[in-house]
Amino acid sequence: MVEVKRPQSGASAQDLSLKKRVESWLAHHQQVAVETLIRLLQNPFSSVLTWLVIAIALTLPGALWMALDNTAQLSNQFQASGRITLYLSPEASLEEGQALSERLKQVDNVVTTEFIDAETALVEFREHSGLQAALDFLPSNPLPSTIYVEPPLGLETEQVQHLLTTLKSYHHVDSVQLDIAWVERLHSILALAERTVLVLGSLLALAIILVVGNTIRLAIAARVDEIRVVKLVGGTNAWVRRPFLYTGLWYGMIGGLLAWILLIICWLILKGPAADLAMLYGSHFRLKPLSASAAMVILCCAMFLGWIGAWWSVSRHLGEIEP
Amino acid sequence: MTMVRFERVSKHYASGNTALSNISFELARGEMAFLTGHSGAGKSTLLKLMMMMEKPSRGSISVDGRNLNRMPSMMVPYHRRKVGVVFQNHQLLFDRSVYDNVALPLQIAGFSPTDTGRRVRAALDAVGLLGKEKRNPIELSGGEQQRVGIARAVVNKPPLLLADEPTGNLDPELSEEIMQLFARFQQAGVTILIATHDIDLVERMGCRRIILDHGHLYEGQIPGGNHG
Repeated sequence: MVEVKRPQSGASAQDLSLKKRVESWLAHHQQVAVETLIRLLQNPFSSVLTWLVIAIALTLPGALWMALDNTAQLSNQFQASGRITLYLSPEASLEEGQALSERLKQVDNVVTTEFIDAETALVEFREHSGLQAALDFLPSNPLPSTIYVEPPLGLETEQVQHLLTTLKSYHHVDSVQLDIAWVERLHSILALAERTVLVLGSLLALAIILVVGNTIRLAIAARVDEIRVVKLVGGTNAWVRRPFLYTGLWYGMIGGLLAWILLIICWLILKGPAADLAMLYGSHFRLKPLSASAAMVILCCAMFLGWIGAWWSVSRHLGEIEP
Repeated sequence: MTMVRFERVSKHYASGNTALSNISFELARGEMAFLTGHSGAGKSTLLKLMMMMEKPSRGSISVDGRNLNRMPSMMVPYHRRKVGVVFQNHQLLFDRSVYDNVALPLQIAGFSPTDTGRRVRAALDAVGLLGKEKRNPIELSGGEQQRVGIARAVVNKPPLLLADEPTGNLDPELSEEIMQLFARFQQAGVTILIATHDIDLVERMGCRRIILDHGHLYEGQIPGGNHG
């Protein structure tokens, strides 16, 4: 037979160049992203409940995170308790002690050092101990020169042990003392708090996935006809999935932004009482809001979880809808 | 030049119902044929097999030189882009305009908005609905809705066009009009298979006729040699 005009010889879909396909793929992403966001914002009342659930689920770990951040700030004031005292041998001179103190500042895991010579130590001891008379009887100063070494907070026990060995190896260092109990206590409290944030965060992340998943399930149910038609005229699963995934992403984003607002409100409410409490302890502690980077992490997590929730829901329900 | 080839195809459903048994036939490129038979004879099943909405229980089907049995499921959407379908209930979406309904296959295939606009208008022009592109299909009459469905089926210039009872809900005059429309697409080189139980219409069109009866196939009027 004579083929008059083969329809597929025109620019049918199969003949589109790769460049054109990539362009249209990007264009579709852009279009779907904008359309789904507009659709959500046009009917805020239908999805406001989902947004709030996401926001609250994010605010809880977010607030704990804020508390942890602030504990780190507070702990600077505990640091003195974690410091290491080096007792120097009696034959070390004043200059040698000072030089050693300067040298130790260069050692790894040493934040700062303070040198107290034997004379100053004796004067301080005289003032605070009330043993003035007894000390006067002694032929020479019984106190050694000391160097206080301050390690950074949150060192691992091994690192602290290593630091102690290092310090002890220096010439003129007689003995090394560390109030390790405090360090360990603080350490385990921080670890516990971090773990709590992690566990709570994971549970609430799961909740967000389920909530978004359920919302997307309803959205899918409302668009069954459209999905059928799209599949009939050659829509791929990715094409069908795309608007739902973006919707999930936007749910996460809006929930994350609302969580920011809730966290700021929490901060405003707690800021005053926290300062009052600190004042009673003679501290200048001020409750800080969540850092910008932490806030970004929360927002990104929220968007990711929204996307995952949508993905989970779509992959469960899309297969059931076949033309 | 074969567009569609069925080789000893059977379709049984899990319920034990046999929709098609041992069907063999061919459709040449550019041919227009009618598929007739009582309701439940297996017409829809046969069309669904070609669309890969169902899989045959036995036998092999090839469309446009490709064996559907060996086609991985991820290729099914690309296969469907080469097969236009028209339904009795036209499957239009009432949440968007006539234009957007017809544009859907092009958007899915990745045409640029400019190309899409040109092709949609050409397709709407071909079915005589150019002035109604901004209307919602729900405002249109049954015949017009069916023509929107046809425009959507042909807008991507598929080499194969299937129609399942396209005139089922229309009066004879409109049915005739729709059939003339199909005849024009055939003249442009499209292979067309139309399932219908409107025997009068089939006889007036004088095309090849494939008859299904309880899942068995009989050829009616055979213009181009003995197939199957």
